[in-house]
Amino acid sequence: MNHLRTIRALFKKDIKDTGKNANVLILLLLPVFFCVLYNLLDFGGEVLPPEFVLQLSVLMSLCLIPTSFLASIIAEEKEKNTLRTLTLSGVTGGEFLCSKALVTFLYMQGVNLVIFFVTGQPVDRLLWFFVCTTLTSVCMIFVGAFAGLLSKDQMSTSMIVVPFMLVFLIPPMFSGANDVLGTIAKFLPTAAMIRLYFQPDRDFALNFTVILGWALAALAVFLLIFRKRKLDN
Amino acid sequence: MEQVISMQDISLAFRGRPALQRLSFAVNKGEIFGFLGPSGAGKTTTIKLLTRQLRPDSGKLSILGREVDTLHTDAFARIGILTDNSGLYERLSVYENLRLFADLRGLPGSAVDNVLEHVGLAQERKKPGKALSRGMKQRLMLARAVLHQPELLFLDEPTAALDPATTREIHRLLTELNRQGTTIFLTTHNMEEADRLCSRVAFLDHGTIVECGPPDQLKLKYAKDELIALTGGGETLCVPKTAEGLRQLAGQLEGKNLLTLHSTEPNLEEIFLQLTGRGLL
Repeated sequence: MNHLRTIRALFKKDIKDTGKNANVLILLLLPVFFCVLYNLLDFGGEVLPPEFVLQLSVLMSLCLIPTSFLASIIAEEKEKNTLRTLTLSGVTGGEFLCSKALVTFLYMQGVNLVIFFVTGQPVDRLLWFFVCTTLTSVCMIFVGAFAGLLSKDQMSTSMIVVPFMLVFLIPPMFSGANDVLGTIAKFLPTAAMIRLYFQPDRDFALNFTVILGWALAALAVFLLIFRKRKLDN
Repeated sequence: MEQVISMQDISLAFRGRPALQRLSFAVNKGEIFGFLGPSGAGKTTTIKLLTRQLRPDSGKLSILGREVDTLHTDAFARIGILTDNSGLYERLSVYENLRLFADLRGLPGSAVDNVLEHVGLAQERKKPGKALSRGMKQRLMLARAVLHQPELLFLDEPTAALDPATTREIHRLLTELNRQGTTIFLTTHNMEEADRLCSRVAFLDHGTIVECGPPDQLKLKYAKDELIALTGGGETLCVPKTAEGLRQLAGQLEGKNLLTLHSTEPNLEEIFLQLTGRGLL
C-alpha cells in the first residue's frame, strides 16, 4: 500500500469522524472557554493581564488536547474494533498513528490560534508562537499516543493521561506563587515553552534543551511501548 | 488444482489448553469451504491464524501460495475479511464507511456505488452506521470485505443472529461472488448454511478435523442402507437399500397406496453427532 495514500485516506476519515464526536470536541472547547472566561474576569476594576490569560489557556490546550484527545480517539478505535478492521486491510501502525497525530495537531493549533487572537497578541508574533507550541506539542503527542496504546478503551485513558496532565499543567500555572513548583517548572516543557515564547533571548539554550529532551524521552517511551504492545490487543 | 489455503499440522494452545491440534487441510481455488463446529471448537482461532491475528505454536500455514509469516501488507489487497469482531464507524454514513476503504485501496467512488447496489444498501447510503439494523450492518461489513473484489474471502459466522430473509440475501451474495471467482472460507455452526453454500465442509471438534468432504458425499457415506416407504394407510415400511429390498417392498405394497419413498441420508448435524457424540449448538 502507498503510505501517503493511506495516511490521506485515514486523515480524511479522522477529520470527518472527530468532527461528529461530541465527546472529544468538548476537549477543544474547554481551553477556548476558559480563555474567554479569564478575559472577562474583573477584580474590582483589575483584569488579568492578556499574557497571563494566554499562558493559562495555552497550557490547558497543550496539556489537554494532544494527551486526552489523542488517547481517546486511539482508544475508541480499539474499543469499537475498527482498528482491527484497518490493520486487516493492510494499514500499518505507523500510518494509523500518523493520521491521528496530524488531526490532533491541527485541532490543537486551531485552538491555540483562537487563544492567540482572543488574548490580543500582536500578529507579528504569530509565527514564533506557532514554532514554540509546535515544538512542545511533540512531547505531548507522544504522551497521548502511548496512553492510547496502553488503554483498552476510552474510559481507561484518563488513568494514564491525567497524571501527565497535572504534572505538565500545575507547576507552570503556579510557579510564581510557590518556590518548589517554580523549581520543578524550570524543567518542564510546558513552562519552557512559555519562557521561550515571552523571552526568547533569555535562557534560550536551557528552554530549548528542556523541550527537546522531553520530546526525545517521550518518543523513547512511546517506541518501547509500541514494540512491546504493538497497536492492537 | 491450485491451493489457496494450506494448513499442515497446525497446533496452538492457550495457557496450556490446546485450541488446535495438528490441524491439516487445504482449500482449492474457486471453492466455498465450510468449517463446521460448535462454539469453542476452534473455528475462529483458525481464521485468526489464517489472517495473521495469531501465530501457531507449530506447523506450516500458507495462503495464496505464500507462507503467512512472509505475507506483505500488500497481500491484504487480494483478501477480504469479515469476522465477528469487525467494526463500523458508527458516526460516519454507509457511503463514508465504504469510501474510506475505497480510498485506502485506491479505488474510485464508483466501486462504492456498485457494491452498495450489489448488497442492497444504495438507498441507505447517507444513513449513519449507528442507525442501521443488525442485518444492514452485516451487509455493510460484507460490502466492505468484497469492495476490492478479493480473490480469497474469510467469513467468520457471517449470518449469526440474522433473520432468515437477510441470511438468504447474504447467501445469494456469496454464491454470486463465488461464481465470479472468489474462493470463500467460512466458519459456521449452522449446518443448513453449510449444506446450502459449501462445496466442501470440514467438521471441527476440540481443535481437530473429524471429517471432511463435499456435503452430498458425506451424507451418502453416513447414510443408513435402508429405504422408508409411507403408505396411504399410515403404515411405514422399512427395507434394505438393495435390489432384494426393493423386491420385498414391491411385495409389501401390493394393494396399498404408496405416499412417499425415500432413502435415509442424515443431515450434517446428524453426521456430526454420530462422529463426536455432540451437536453443533
